[in-house]
Amino acid sequence: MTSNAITVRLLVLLVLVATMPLLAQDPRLAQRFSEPVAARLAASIDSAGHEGLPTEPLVLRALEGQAKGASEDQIVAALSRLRGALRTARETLGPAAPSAELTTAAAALQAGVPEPRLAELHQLRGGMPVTAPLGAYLDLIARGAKADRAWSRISDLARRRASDVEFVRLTPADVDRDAKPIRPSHPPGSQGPP
Amino acid sequence: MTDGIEPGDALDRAVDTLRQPVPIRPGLARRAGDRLRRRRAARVVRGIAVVLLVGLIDLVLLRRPSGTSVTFAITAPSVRSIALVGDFTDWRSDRVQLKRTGAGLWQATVKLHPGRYRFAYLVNHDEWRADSRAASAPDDFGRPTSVLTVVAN
Repeated sequence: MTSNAITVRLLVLLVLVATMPLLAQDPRLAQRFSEPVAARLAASIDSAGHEGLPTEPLVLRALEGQAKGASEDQIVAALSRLRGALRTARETLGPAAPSAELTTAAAALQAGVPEPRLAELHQLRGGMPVTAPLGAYLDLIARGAKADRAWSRISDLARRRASDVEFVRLTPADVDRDAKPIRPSHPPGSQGPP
Repeated sequence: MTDGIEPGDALDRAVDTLRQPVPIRPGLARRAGDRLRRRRAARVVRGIAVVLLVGLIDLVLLRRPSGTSVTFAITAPSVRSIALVGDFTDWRSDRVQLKRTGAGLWQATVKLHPGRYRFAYLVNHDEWRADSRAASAPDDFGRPTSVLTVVAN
């Protein structure tokens, strides 16, 4: 076998691997839904894929709906909302943002995080993924932390280029503790030490 | 034609000569066989090399971490079964079953890649429960759902 033949075979293999997701409907849909429902969902998901949006979170949301006994219309509506959020997330984070980052950003948008806040975090991270800080922020809110305080703490960490682990270890108690005003060591109005 | 040999006769003789069996020395036949085997072996080696090269490309360009072990736990003293269901099981309830570890505590450990995952527990095949230790997530389908962010170690 010549080196040219090997190169050609490698290229064909790589092209096949790269285009495989575009060639076939996700088999999980066919396994879990009736044929017409699977086709309807697949059309919606494929359309998102043609937009350049990640399709895996949409497939998973459809499977989640099926597992939870949701109706076809409920699932279609959920996919439509998620698709809109993914689109906004991609516009904010850029076309190079990986699927995991877009999925988390979409979850944040659906949870009510304003788009400018997402853009601010993206900027603070300076090219690092926003998955961990955004996930940590959402978790803090879900556990009862005040949104502004939680955001302030997350922003500080992002500004300091903290590691992902530092974000996910944050607890609402950490946020509350950091937000408490520091008691001055001398009475207000008096002159402090030079 | 000279020497009284007809062109047709010359051709016949040549053909007869070519048709005569050629004695092959045993050593020569063995060397030819060896050469053929070496060529086949070389072809197999090249095939393996191509497979390894593709694997190497996959490893280098599409490398993923092996995953972080995450232990899920829920306390449910009087239930028969608990399945862990979520994005990482394709929302199938037959992939990860929690095991009772005593005192009503049920546990399962799975390996997850960095990312954010939605999940829930399916108790006795029909009751959805969220994880009280994890953050709750908004749900499009009206069921309790938890969410977990996994980062690389």
